[in-house]
Amino acid sequence: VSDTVDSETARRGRASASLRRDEILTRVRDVLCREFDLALEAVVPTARLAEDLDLDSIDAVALAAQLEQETGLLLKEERLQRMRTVQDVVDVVIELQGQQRV
Amino acid sequence: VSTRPRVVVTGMTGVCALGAGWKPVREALRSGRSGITTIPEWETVEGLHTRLGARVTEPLDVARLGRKKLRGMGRVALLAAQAAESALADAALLGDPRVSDGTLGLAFGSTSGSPPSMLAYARAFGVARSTRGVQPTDYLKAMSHTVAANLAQLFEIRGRVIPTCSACTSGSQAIGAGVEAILLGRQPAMLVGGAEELHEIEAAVFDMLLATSTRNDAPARTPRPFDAARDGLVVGEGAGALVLEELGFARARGARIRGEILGWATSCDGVHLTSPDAAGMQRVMELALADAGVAPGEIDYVNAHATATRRGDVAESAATHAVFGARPPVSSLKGHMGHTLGACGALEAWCTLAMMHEGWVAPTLNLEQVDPLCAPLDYVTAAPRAQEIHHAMSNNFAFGGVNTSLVFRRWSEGQ
Repeated sequence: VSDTVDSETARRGRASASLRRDEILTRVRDVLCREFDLALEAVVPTARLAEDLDLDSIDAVALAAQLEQETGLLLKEERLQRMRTVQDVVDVVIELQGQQRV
Repeated sequence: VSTRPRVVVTGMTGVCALGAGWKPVREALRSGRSGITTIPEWETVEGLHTRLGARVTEPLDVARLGRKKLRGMGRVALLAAQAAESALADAALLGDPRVSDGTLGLAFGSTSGSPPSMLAYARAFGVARSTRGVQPTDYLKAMSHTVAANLAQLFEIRGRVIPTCSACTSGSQAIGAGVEAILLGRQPAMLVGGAEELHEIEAAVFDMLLATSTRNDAPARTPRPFDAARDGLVVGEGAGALVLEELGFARARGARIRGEILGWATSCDGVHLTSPDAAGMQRVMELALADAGVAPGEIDYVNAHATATRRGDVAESAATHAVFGARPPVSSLKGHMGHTLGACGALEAWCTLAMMHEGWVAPTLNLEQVDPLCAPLDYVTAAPRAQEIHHAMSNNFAFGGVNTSLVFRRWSEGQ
């Protein structure tokens, strides 16, 4: 039970410190799998959001909204439109983390 | 001389607190089984008096629709989807290419978008003043035409899509919009209906106007349309859907015809946003009879809107009496299934057509002693009544003074 509560708290809580690259990748993959019913093994860094994961413009904004809730960052910027792969998403979070004090 | 096209019903069904499809709903209407329950979680809403609602208890079979079809659908759209899919199946049109090639149009309404998503969207902008964390799908679930938009996507409909969101006439105006599209020759077939999702924001509107029932300890005994002891309406949820077709089109594809929509009228009181107006109600019934070319004496059953509010039932009974006198049997289905708001026009049209086909009339549940302030009508009470019905009328009235009236004719081959 406490595991569930802890992970729920972590999921909802905003990051108080910068996340490491591997932690960000883990979170991005977790969000993608949960929000879009994807299999974890399909969500690799090189996976293309549209062609491989069948995500569209509505999904991109939903993904940003979910990541905002989890990281405390504000992602809705034009660079969202340049995200093509899972790695691009991770890079955007890393980049914003450096710019925005959370 | 061109003759007016004829509009027939080839598919129809619904889901409400009484069940999904005609079998359980028929059983409930005949046996006096109520769909009203207490809603304990409404106790946490400060100032809300009613704790009563008519909730759909069947699980909605939606997982198979897939993520992209489901992501913009709140419960109101899911209820509509269930009814619409069953209606298309009833019309033997599921999987037919004419659903998606522009032949079929759509008219569907609900009081509003899905309330939980409305609240989520409003909270983000109205309270937090931020786009942070806002899901675009919340807007798609909350927007006024969410039901029509989602159904069109679900069935890949390429004909006209008309949202008819006028509160308690959403469903009946959808039927009317479908009739008019067919009469104008714009679509040979229309999928029409209405839906509603149970939520306290809808109950609260009526509650604040002191129009809800607060018999919170006796859910099965309320609402009580036309009854002297009625104390208001009970909101409910559900969806009704019908497939309408031009007669020649239906015959050419060998469709099973369930009834004919002979007359349709909609009008406005033009007086008050919420107060019922007997003159406006009377006028819409007369307009529908004129549209049908049927005399008042030919109507064998009137399915009343009658939500069990103090003033609404009195006004409606007076209007009905002014048009018909005391002759035709009259009943309201709200005692069984509550007031399903955006769904009621479609649900009541479906049930009226089904009862007409089977030759009986449902009683008004909980109508034990007719209010002396209500006009003297032939109120059907206590038990279902065997009744040959050649023509029936179904009436609905909404906030805004919006009135609708539909006239149905029983179908027999050779007509």
